[in-house]
Amino acid sequence: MQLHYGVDELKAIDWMAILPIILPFMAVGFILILIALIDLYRNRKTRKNIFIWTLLILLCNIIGPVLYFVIGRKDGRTY
Amino acid sequence: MLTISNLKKQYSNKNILNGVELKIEKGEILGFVGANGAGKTTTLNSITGILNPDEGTIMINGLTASDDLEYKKQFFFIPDTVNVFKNVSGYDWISFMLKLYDQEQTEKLSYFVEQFSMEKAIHKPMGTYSYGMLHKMALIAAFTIEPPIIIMDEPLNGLDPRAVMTFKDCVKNYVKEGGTVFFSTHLLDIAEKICSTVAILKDGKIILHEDIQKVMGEENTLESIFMERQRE
Amino acid sequence: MNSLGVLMKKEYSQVLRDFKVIWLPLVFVFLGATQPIMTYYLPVILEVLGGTQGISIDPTMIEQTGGQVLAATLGSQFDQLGIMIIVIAMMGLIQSDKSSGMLAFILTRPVTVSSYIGGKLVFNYLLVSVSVGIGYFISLLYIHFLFTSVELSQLIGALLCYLVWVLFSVSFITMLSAVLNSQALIAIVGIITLLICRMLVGLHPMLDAVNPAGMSQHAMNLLISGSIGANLSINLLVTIIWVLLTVIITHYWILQKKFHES
Repeated sequence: MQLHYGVDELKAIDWMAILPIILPFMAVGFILILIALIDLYRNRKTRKNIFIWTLLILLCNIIGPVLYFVIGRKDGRTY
Repeated sequence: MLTISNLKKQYSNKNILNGVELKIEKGEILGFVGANGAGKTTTLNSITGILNPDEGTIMINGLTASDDLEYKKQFFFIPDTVNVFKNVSGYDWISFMLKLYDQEQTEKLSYFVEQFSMEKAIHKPMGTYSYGMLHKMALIAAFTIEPPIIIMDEPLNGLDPRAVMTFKDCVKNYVKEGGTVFFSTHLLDIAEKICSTVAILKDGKIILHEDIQKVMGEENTLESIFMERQRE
Repeated sequence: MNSLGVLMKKEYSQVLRDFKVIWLPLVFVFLGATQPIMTYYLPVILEVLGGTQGISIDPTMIEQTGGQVLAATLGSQFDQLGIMIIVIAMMGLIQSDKSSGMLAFILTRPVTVSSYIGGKLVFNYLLVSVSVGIGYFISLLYIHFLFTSVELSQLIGALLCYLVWVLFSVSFITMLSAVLNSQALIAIVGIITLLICRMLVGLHPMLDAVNPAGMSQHAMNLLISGSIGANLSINLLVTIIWVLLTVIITHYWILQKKFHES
């Protein structure tokens, strides 16, 4: 196995072989962000701090959408 | 059927209840009145088990709070704010309540839904309900379940005049069939038309528990009696 | 009387509305996939970050077995970000019912405190377990594809050990959720305690035996070496005692109505 990589080899990396592996992985993170953003948009009238939540969801990988689901959607469940 | 003796409760060194003594007979419709802060809600919360009193015993049909499930099946409690899920329909909520009390849905349910004219609203999420509608839902649940005693904290708040009439009729029918009603209220003029007896709570003690006709005599209103007693 | 079943149904509809049933498994799928992909492409990633010079890579890094990578999924993904996510997902379990008055409402109904706690705990533990299980399976899929495969008995044994540690985490947060009143405080205390438990593993054998996080270490050992650690049974027993203790405290706290007076 070759253990020395140069920049030329990097270009030679078979991206087509990597893609099927990485793509589903990235899709999962993307779906989480998407669900959070759609929910935020659909409830934009009742949510607070929409701008901050949008940034948080987009920038904080995984934790951002999760925090939104747990804390940001709170007003959807009062009694 | 419901006996409270020597009920005491302190909150941050302030005595809220100072030995409440109350004996409710089967078939009574007891209006529980008192000034703000007299301890009405604390009394009701002690009966229903939301609070643990510092001292005293509460018995319903010979059962105490330590009998847990059997005790809790003796009553249906309607608090002043009815907690419900916003996204649950009134119908689903009532089904949930009925299941907790081991009951099936019967035509009784649709009868009371009609009585309180909630046919349309019952399938909508409870988040869209007004305060009065939430109370109507809780009343429908209570009358459908028909426990030995219905305990209510300010049930008349938020009810429209028609619902108050329905409430009165339902209470009368329920008592005729062997039920007992115990509710707190501030609306004395309505209370005097519904209640068979009245109890006044002052400074954490029951200062009067009497048949309402006897108390009012010929000319008095409940309001004047209440004001008189408060001054003493 | 089947109030446990009724309460679990209520819990289910609540979880459904929270989207928890969707995002919790997704998060663990993400975490599960991260470790094998990172390990496999680490040389490439280092290359990109390292500039033109080219770096020699420690050969052992690439020659990891499937078991080692799966162990790393548990140790570096699930036990770090995963635990934090579980705490955040579970912190409102009882706290939100307390603050909304729902707890008081439910407890004036013919419902025992045990079935209330039981409904919460059983349902949410199932949800977390299934999420962790799915993430674990996805990790395995990637490992099978990119590394060597792992023996089935080790695989299942390790998952079961790990789920005991997860059980402790869930019951511990449930207890915090009953005792404390602020979500932020529950999250901070929960995350710090559980991460400290995890970090203390391996310091001293005596400590390991009474540390619930030891179960996670046992799971990793099983995957790496293929053999069961010496004090697994003691650790298992102690962890179950810890779980019972947290449940008893939760039960006592709610029964004494401590929630109402603070």
